[in-house]
Amino acid sequence: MSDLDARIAIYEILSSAFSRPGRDLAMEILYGRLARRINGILKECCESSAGCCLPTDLLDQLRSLSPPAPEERERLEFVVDLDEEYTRLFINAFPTLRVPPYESYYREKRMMGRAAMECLFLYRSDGLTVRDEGELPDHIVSQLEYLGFLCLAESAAQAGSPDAVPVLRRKQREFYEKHIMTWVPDFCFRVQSHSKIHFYRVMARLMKNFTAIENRNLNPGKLDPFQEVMHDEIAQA
Amino acid sequence: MKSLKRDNQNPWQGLSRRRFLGVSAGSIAAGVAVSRLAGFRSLAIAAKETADEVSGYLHEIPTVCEMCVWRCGLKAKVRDGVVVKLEGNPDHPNSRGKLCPKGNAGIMALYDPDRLKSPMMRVGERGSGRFRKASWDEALDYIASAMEKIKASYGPQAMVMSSTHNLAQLQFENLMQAYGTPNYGTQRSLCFNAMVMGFTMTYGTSDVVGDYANTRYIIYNGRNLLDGIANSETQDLIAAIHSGAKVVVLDPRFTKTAAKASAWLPVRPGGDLAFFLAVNNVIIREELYDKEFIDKNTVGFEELVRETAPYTPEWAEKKSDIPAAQIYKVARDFAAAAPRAFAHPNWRTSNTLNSFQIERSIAILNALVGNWNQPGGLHPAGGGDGGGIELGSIPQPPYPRVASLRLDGVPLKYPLVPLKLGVFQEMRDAILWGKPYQAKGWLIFRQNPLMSLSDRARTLEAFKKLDLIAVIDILPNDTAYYADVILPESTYLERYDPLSVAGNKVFLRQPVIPPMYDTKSALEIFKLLGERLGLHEFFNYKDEEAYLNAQLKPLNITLEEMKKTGFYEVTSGPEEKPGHPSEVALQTASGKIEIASETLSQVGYDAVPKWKEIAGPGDGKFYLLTGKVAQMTQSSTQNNQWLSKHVPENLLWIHPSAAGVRGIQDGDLVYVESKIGRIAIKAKVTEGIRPDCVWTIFGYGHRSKGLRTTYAKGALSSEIHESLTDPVSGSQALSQTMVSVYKVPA
Repeated sequence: MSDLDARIAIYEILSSAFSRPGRDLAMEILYGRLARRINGILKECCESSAGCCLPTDLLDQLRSLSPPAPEERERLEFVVDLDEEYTRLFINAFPTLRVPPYESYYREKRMMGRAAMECLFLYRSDGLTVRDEGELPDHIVSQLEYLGFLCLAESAAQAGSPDAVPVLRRKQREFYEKHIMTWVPDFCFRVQSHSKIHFYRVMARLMKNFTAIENRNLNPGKLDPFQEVMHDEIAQA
Repeated sequence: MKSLKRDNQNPWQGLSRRRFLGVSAGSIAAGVAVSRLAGFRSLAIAAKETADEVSGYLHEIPTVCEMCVWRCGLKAKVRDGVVVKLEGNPDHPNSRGKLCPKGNAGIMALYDPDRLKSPMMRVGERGSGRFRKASWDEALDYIASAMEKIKASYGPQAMVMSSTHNLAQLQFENLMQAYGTPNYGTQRSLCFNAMVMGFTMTYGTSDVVGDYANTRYIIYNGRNLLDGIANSETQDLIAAIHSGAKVVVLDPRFTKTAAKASAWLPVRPGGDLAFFLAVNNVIIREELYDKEFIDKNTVGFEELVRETAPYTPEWAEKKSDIPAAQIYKVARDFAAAAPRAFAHPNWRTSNTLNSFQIERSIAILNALVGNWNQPGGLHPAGGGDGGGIELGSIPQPPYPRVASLRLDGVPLKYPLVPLKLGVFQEMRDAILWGKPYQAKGWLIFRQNPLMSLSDRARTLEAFKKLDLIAVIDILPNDTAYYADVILPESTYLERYDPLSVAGNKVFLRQPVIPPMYDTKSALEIFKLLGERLGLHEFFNYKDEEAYLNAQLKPLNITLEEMKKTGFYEVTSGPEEKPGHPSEVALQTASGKIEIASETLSQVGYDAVPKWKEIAGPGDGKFYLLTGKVAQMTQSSTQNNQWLSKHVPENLLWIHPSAAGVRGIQDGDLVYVESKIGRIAIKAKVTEGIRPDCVWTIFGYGHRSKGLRTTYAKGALSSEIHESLTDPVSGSQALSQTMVSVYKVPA
């Protein structure tokens, strides 16, 4: 698996993790398939951006995503628990919704603010559209999918049109600078602080570290490679 | 939606690298095979034509506001799918091109981050606040099967359904009647029962309007049009003031309307009855009434003359605290200005146990000076909600006959209260006490009874008696917190509603943007629920547009045309019927204006208004009064960030003389304590209120933490308001809770 394929895979895993969970995701977690998949990706590309620099205890956490040998009843409960937790964290909550998954909320305290419009224009100018049943343009899943899409395009460009690669890299860098880094660290921190479910805490931590690494790799020489990860260690403590 | 793939494969695989065409602006997607985006939930490759959507073009879409119940026409300015500005529609008679603060802030009702975004089902104990996202099918199936179970085990009457004034209300009532329950809860008894009944018992209609353009004298009793904004009527009042009309405001508080009036009469709560009895007394004694009009158009004048004799201004001064000289002056000036004068019917008249008779005395005052149907006087508006325009309807079978009693005591306990008004607070008590039978379910459509009904604790207790609580709303309000199922409605900027009629125009509420989340219109929700209840025949429309097309059928316009104009004007509508009331029989028992009402005396009430003493607050206590502010609508707008910025919390108005002896200073936190509870609220020390009254805005003190902007700001009057009811109209007596006020110890 190439570095780029690994990045594509991790964007996909993260956008799945922050989409509404269904029975399939619950089973992926419970039976350890998700953990194995993540570890597989990280192992295969330990030379690459995605695998290196993740804190070792996060790697341990990822390996232990699934609880040991769940009973049938526990399995059914987990599906509901996961759904409840997703609703509580990201959709509507009594009490307070702690982690709205929209950039506009973090920057403007409203929905469909400037950030959402900027995202929408970016998607459209790159030939994408937001599905009718999809999330808003500044939802975490939309943004992760857009990055995944840019990586897919980069992968295609490597084979057919190498001139385009720097353009695509610049697009990714700018998207990180203008959008991801303005709110995703806070978003992840909130999930880590407020989730009652291990899965979301671990995925948030993975996302915070992964996006920090991505941001660093897209900005070679500009950032201290370990700065963001150190921040994560402090937050964990 | 899809979840993670089970295999170890990259789920976005399948990109054909050969197909990559190179990167130039707009063509990145061309390099990525569509199949590789199959796993995407939110984004997709755009069809060619959508590329033009990013144009910066400002679309202007006409629709109807829903920030309060006045239904102002507006124009939404939409750029690239985002609503950027709302403006009044100059063609709409209710707004005339102007919107109030709430109307302007409608954008933040749409973009409120706290909105309900998908159906939710409770997973913990009721009141635990634990919910999970659900599909529409699952949530609707749950409600329908619970309602079927209730119907099968206890009968349809065990289901309570409640809603507040809105365009989809008729379809909600359709659902309720098709299901077969008589138990309908509305806000009406908390608001205007006394006004509606007082005027209906006198004129046969409560749908009356003042002729502001020609009037010279207006009396308001508590009506505060500059805070309780009724857009076009508020504009009319301002214009009338500018053209020199005299305006007299009776209110224990110095309201914004009082500030613009010619005279503010700080009447004692309940003393307004004495005031109007005395005004009538002066007009009769000094023979200032319109003798010809009374002879021709009224019944019962002699009885009024007899019964009103003791109520002199000197007597009324002691009951109302309005100087006798002032009462003489108002009576004489009002009569002199008549018929170009009117005493306004007011709206929220749920004040005292005598509110019905207060409204009667106001209605009679208008009749005495003959200002009915005269330029500058009161006019029957005619047509009610329908405005005289016949809309098309969809054929459906007759409703099942309802055999059971109503829970709210209409008509046994309240024989004259119309069924459509009801007595909401009694219904709540009947749920709590299980009498005359136990209700089992409550479907609540865009209403917040936990805040709106007096004695919140009692409402919470009543909730415990129910097997089903289902809520349809746009916000996670206090009531939703206790629900078993929550259905999210689209906001008024994202949905169709049934047509709105204003004057000779029909207006369309239409989506100005598609729904942002997994929400639906009320029209669709009721249809889906009705179908699950086996009531297909009552919901014979495919979708909202089909419903609207059926409504538009008798009119000479298509829905497509109306989407552009937003309204349709009926030019060949029914002729207006001007002229003297003697030419038109009134819808009263006698066909005339009933100064004395035989209907009232037949059921044991006073045929003409008489004084009834109301106990005051006594030593050291206050009347607790509540009211409105221009930026808020009941308890529904406090979470709007733009509005909350202006009025973040409610304050307790208290007179300096009352504050001083209690050591209360402006901004101090005080307790307000009634027989049933205590709230803490910040004091506003002001001479704009009587020393024996305290006042605050209703609608603050939300306990739902789902409302992040307004949670725990201010305090809720319903926590300390006692449930007292006017025996004639079923109206709440909201000004008769007595409270003590003291500083919260530091």
